[in-house]
Order: sequence, then structure tokens, then C-alpha cells
Amino acid sequence: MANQDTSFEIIYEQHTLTVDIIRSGKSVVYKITNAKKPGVFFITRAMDAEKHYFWTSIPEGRLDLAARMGALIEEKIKP
Amino acid sequence: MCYYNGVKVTRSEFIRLKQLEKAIAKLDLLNRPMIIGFDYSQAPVLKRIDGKEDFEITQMEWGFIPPYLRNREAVVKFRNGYKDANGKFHPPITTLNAVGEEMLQPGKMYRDAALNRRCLVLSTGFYEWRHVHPIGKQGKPLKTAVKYPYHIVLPGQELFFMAGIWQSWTDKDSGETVETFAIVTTAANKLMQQIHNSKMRMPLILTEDQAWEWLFGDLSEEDIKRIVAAPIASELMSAYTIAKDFRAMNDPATPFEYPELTPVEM
Repeated sequence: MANQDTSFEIIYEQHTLTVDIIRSGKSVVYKITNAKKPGVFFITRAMDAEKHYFWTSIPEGRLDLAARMGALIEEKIKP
Repeated sequence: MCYYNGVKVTRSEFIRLKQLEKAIAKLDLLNRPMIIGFDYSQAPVLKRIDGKEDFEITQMEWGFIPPYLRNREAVVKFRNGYKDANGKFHPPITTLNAVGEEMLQPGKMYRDAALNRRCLVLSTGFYEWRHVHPIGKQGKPLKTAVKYPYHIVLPGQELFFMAGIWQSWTDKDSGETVETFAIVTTAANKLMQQIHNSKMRMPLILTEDQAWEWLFGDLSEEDIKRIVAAPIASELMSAYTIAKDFRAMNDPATPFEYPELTPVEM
């Protein structure tokens, strides 16, 4: 089962969003919520067939938004 | 090669992402802040996989439906009450909870499920109302109670198990089959006697060892009665007041102070 680990905030289009890091096995999923709105958005970093990383929504369907959110998360967590 | 979200990925990556979807679906179920029984909504339940010491997390409809009800129309009448052709009113029957001490009695609709179809209901906390009778001008308690909602949790346990029993039910007209469940209740412990003071009941909360026994054990009637008769100790629970309109809040478990209220003894 997935376990929630830690959390931080990102700013997206003037909204403060909470990002929870969830570990599931060897995978990491980022759970994004907006305290002012219902709903939740999950994204993760995946690898394409050419071995390049990309951000994807879990489940499928929101690739562009996942890429934008993923870029903000990378900014936040980079060493 | 496969595609995930429009991007070409290897089969192994595709499988990993699909497994993540399943894990997230379960987490999403568990993250629902509140489930209100009278919505007869779906709730996450751990159910044994037949013949194995393994379980699946599945969604079931909260509100046990006995197999003898023919269709959804009969279920609605059963739950809401109805007048028959002679004008006689048949009161509603609530099956959200099964009284643990009574469910094994001969003829009870829960008996077979208690013996053969036990499950675990996942919870992060539950809500109950404390009834307080204010003192009137003549120094006596008023008849009408003021109700204060509480959120009850198990400190140190983000998730805990409540004992449940389940029943598969098929609408004989439409063919729809759903799994339904009831939460088993027991006598209130010291803390819950103060909070749920109108009914003096509480859900049967199980320790991890009891949960294992409840789900996988070959339990006799006596074993089940023994578990039901041992409610969790008050010392393992904690409770705090929340806003009276908590049902409408984004986070219903947000603490809310009532200065006029005497605290409960923990």
C-alpha cells in the first residue's frame, strides 16, 4: 500500500498548492491538493522508451498539467 | 512497447505505472475525509480472498442489505419505511450497524454474515454526538439536550480497523449485484460513555491481532462473542470537539472549542 511521507508547498498560477510525497514500493508519487478547492491530482516521474524522464498524471489523461506541476516540484526538491 | 498518457514507454514501465494507479486508487479511497452512513455511500473495506490468508481492499455499500429483498424499490422501502396496502406503516430499518451482542441470535439477518463473512472497515476516525442538558433557570436540567459533535481517533494510528460483516446482494429484477456491509457495534467504553451518552454504544474497534483473527480466523460463536465483549480501552482513544456544521466543511475533523462545555475525562 502507498504510504504518505512528507509535504511541501508550490505556487501555481497564484494558488498555493500542497504537495505530499507518497512512496509506493520503489515509486514516488506526488499528491497535489488545493486547500481551497476539492479534488486531488497525482503525478509521478516516468521514463519513456528512449530513457528520458517525463512527468505523467496518475491515472492517465493530464499530461500537460503533470508536466507543468512536475517542473515546479523539481524546482522545489532539487538539491 | 505501450503508451502511457500518450508517451511511448516500455512494458515494464507501463506495468509499474498501472500498479501505481491501483495503489493511488486505494489511497484516494482512504483519504475521503468523511463518510456519512445515511448516504448509503461506498466505503473502503478489507475482505478476505476466499481460501487464502490474503485480502483485497474493495468498496462496499454501507448499509447491509438482506438477501430476501427483491429489488432496489424494496430496499428503499426497507430503509425509509412505508405504508402497506392497508395503510399500516412499517418503520424504517437501519442496517448501518449490527449490534454485536445480538447479531448471532437465531433468526437475526446478520447471523450468517457474522459467522462466515466478516470484514474490516478502515477508518481514520469517526464522529459522534454528545448530548448535554443545560441547566435551566430553576436550577434543573432542561429536557432538550444540546448536541456537540466529537471526532474520535486513535493517537499514533493513522488508520485503524472496525469490525464489519458483509453481504452480497442481487437485485432480482435488474441483475445488479452489490456487496454491502454493516459495522459491528459494542458497549461504549469509559470515554465513549461520556460522548455517545445517548446510546452508550461504539464501533467494535480491533487491535491488529484481533483484526487478523476477525478476518482470517475460523471463529466459533464463542470466539466472536469474546471479541465483541472486549471493547478497546479508552486509554487508546482520544476525542475532541468539532464544529456543528462539520459535515459541510472541507476538513470536518478541524478542532472547534465550545467554552461552555465541560471536557470529557480521557
